[in-house]
Amino acid sequence: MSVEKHKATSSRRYLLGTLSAEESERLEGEFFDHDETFEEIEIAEDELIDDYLSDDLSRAERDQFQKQLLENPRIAERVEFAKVLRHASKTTAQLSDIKPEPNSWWQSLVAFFSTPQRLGSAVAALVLVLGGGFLFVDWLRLRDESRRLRAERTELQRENELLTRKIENDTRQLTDEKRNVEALNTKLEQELESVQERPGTLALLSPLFLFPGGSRSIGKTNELLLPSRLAMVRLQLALESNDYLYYSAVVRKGVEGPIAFRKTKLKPGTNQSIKVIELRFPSTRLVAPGDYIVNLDGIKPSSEPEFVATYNFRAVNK
Amino acid sequence: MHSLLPTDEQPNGETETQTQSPSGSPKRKWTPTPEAFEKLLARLASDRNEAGERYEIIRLKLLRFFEWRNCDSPDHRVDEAFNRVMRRIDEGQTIENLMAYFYETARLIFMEWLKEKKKTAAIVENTPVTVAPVDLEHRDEEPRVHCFDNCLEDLPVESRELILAYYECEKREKIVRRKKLAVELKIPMNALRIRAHRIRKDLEKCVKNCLGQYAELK
Repeated sequence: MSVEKHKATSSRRYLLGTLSAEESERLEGEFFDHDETFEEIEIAEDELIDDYLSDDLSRAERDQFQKQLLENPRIAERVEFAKVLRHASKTTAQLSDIKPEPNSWWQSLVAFFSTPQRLGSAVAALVLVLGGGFLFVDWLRLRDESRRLRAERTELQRENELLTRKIENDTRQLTDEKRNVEALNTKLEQELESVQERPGTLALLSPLFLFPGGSRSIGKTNELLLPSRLAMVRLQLALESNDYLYYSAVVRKGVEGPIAFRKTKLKPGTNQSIKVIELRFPSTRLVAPGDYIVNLDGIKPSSEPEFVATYNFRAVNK
Repeated sequence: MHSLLPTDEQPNGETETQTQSPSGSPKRKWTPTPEAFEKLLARLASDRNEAGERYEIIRLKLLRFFEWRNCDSPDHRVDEAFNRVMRRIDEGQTIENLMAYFYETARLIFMEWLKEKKKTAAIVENTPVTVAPVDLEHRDEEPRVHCFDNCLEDLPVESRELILAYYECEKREKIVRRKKLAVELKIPMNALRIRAHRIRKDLEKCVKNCLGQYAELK
């Protein structure tokens, strides 16, 4: 008896409870130590269930199986599963066994070629015709396929070249634009710094007092008269309450237009007992006459900026 | 301390309720702690995932051990075995062969159960016990067949074909069919047995899960 066969038999007897106590303990010790022995017993359990269902167990084995294993709900479940598995396997096998009935013309053909001479000649002719035909058709197919692939490859190469050229152009254009914007930005920053460092050198415009929403400015108008030469614009943004540590303001041309001026870490001052945030910036920041919007955010320690108010004003030439 | 086998006083001291020691003082119940569990996992393998896999294998082996010995409440006894081994590891006891130690612990728990069973046998004998029979004949097989079909469909094509071919014949035809199948697959017969068993195991697991979901829906 081979080792595998011996193991299978021992496992089977262990499950049926017919192995001696000593042998059972040895097998248990082994299955705790070796996963393959454990798997062998699990396989023996599968096979016992199958043999039970196909009535392949001896009378004694059947009794033992019912007494020792079938009362266990897990095994009872496994038996039910095995029934379904067996049924499915047999049904599949039966379906694949069903073959179509031979037709009468086929039977006649077989009868005609039943003599060895006829059959030999026919087979040789058939091989030649089929082989030649097949080769010819295959050659045609390969030729067409090769042409099609060549055309596709050329087209792909052309598209690839066009795309590469377009990407290069776009990249160059973007780089130029970026460089221009950076230069302009640097220039403006320098200008702002020099102006802020020398506030006395620029004429200060009278402050334009703005209320949130922009409809209640003093003098009923939100118009800012732009001077013909460089001057310092002053905007005073009225606060309804002072709830934040700092404020930040952004002046834009229109709702989504370019940013004309931005300032952070602003602290409120007082104008006629009203808390105000004052913004000062060179008039050149307001590049063109038109409607401007000031967005004011409040900043509390360790939190995100919060929206406070929006102010509107119109810049007009003097 | 250096030991391979659990000592005799260990199993009795770790039952799930507070018990009386021979001296009459109550013994303290040991409950597993996360640290003790971590120590057990570390003992099983250095890699945590591998340790988890080993833990599951040991759990399955213990469960089958108690089931194959027809012990009642096998799950409960598996927990008990784990608790005892975890306790010894937590206390710093050197265990040379952990798997042998698990086996010996399981065997001791089984012996205790047997002893307890014998003690209560007389009481049980005189108590009429009504066991609800499992009605295998009239149970609703439709969900099982439905689940089986779905799970079979989910198997990879090769696995599906193999498992159906493996079980399509009976008696003598079965042996011939399986030999042919092994030749077709170019593997020895025993490897075919193992392969079929593993596919069957996965399929059964899938059907069990599916039936569980079906029962929940009901």
